[in-house]
Amino acid sequence: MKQITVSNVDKIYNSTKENAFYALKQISFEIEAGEIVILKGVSGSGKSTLLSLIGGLSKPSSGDIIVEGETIAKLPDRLASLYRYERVGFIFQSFNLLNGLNVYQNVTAPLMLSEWSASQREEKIDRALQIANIAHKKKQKVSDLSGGEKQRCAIARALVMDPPIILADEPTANLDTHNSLMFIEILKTFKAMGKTVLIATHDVLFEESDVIDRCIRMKDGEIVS
Amino acid sequence: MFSKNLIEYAVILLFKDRADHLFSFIIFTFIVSLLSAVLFVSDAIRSDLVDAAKFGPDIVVENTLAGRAYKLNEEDRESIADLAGVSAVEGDVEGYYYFSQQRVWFHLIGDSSLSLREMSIGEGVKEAMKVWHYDDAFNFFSTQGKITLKMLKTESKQTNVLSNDVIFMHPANVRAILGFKVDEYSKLLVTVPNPNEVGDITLKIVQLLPTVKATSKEDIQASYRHLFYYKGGIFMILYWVCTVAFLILLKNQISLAYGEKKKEIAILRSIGYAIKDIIALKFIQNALVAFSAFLLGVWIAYMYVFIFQAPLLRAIFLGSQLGRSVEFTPIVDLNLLFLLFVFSVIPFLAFVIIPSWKIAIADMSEAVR
Amino acid sequence: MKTLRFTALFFALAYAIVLMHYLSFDHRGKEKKIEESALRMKYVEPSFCFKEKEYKEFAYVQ
Repeated sequence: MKQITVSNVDKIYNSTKENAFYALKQISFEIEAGEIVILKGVSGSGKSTLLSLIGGLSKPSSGDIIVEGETIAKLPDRLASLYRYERVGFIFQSFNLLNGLNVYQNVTAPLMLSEWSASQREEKIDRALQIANIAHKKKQKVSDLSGGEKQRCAIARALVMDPPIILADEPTANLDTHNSLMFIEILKTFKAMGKTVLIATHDVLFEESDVIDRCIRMKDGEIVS
Repeated sequence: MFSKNLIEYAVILLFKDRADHLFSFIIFTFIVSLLSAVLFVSDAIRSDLVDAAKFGPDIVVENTLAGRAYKLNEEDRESIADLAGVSAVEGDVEGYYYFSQQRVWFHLIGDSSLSLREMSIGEGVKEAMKVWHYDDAFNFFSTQGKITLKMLKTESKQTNVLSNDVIFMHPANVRAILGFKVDEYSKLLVTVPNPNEVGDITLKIVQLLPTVKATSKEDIQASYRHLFYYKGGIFMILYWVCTVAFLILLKNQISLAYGEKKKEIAILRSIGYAIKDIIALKFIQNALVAFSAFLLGVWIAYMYVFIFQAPLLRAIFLGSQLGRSVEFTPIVDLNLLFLLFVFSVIPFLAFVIIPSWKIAIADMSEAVR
Repeated sequence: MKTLRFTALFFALAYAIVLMHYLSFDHRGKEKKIEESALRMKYVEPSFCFKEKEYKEFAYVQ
């Protein structure tokens, strides 16, 4: 079953000005449910822009993005937010955690938009922390964590709503080899859980891993293979 | 309106940025308590005076010469009494006596219920006399010689706003001390039974006696309502302090939406928070700060003015002498407090919510990389 | 929520003190004293400037 369909997507920055910049040009591809796909390319090739379009963080200049049968390219803010809330979990290169809060308070952030009781939230958070293997640091401030621990906290936050799609932007760029390998191990859990995962990266470790189903190569805003 | 969970998370984020919010909280509390204290003190004094003025005459007539008060005589009294609509005109003798040793002026007022040897004095007068060891009696010096009066009693402290500098004595003593003859008066107090005629009769009095100043009861009450000149002196300094503090506060509020906070908004947006959720979070956080600061500010002002009797501030309103001895009547003008609330809380909230909204609607993909 | 409840309780207690003070103040008694004084004084003048310069030149300048 096709979970993500990207067709003829352009993303142009400063489109009305003379210095208009084509970040993405006529991108089209499809991703099956449960597939783990990497977007490979050098810095500036358009990987992160493509992820932010699929994640509903920004809108394409033209073309269409269909996720689970629903067009998300032109969704109004309320529905785009709901889409991110229910169906997408983000993992960022710089982790994007709320400094000053502890692990638990960071992971609980998406759940606070719901009407769930404290015990229901606790249950979901504990499960996400277990999967990400960070439950033992639950009460620790994120500013006191190591890079790998921060990454695991970000993974727990992405998983806490149990979304079908995980988008990861350069997830291992700030990690050492040991922690990068640990991340790849967690990908196996994602696969077992049936998650669709799209990873933007230029880390060779991913290509060597058997957990990856497919690799899409990008260059200058276009898919090259 | 807001979900319980969202409120809870807003409080968690509020405590995360407690240093920034604490700064806003302290400045806001300071502004509200300062302005409320000024409001409470002026309202308390004003209310006592307006209450007192209710019992005054309908029209007060004073004679003036070269802009100064001068004596009125029996002929003046009779000519006003002859005016249609006037039911009575009472000649009053009162004036100021200079106590040169202490360099203060006493306000002498005639009270025929007192005997010729007695007087009743205000708290401030008592203190001034005590300095020179006049504990039971006081000697007044006039052109007719020395007049010694016994202190019968001290006026209640509660009436100090009226009686602090007052000495009540028999009218004959006032005349003797101030040099008034039997047919001379310092003021004429006119009674007009029909309140609708007061304005006309006031004009008629001035037409009849061109050198006099006639003031209606309504004018006297109005002058007490506008007793303090808020556009000058120390009030202006207070306003400037408040304005500068408020600008600092607003700048701090704006900074609560930029810098690190900008990224925070983008992170929350990326995990599913809609623009309305971001605005709700910022609203809850800042409304909590604003409401608590407002409530605390008004509470501090109440305690400061009505329980601790406004040390320092009272001297600005009452002068250094009276400053020590007036007891403020608790008067809380809810309309003015509401006005203060509206004009402080709304800008306070607007200066964080509008920038937050502007950030929330922007493309967040760059901010979260 | 605990913080909010604590804050609400703090203000409820603080304002209970204010309310108690306000209600226990003898407004009527003070009004009566002022009325008595005002009736004796006939023409009421605030007793502010005991020592101020306005008093120095002439007795009752307005």
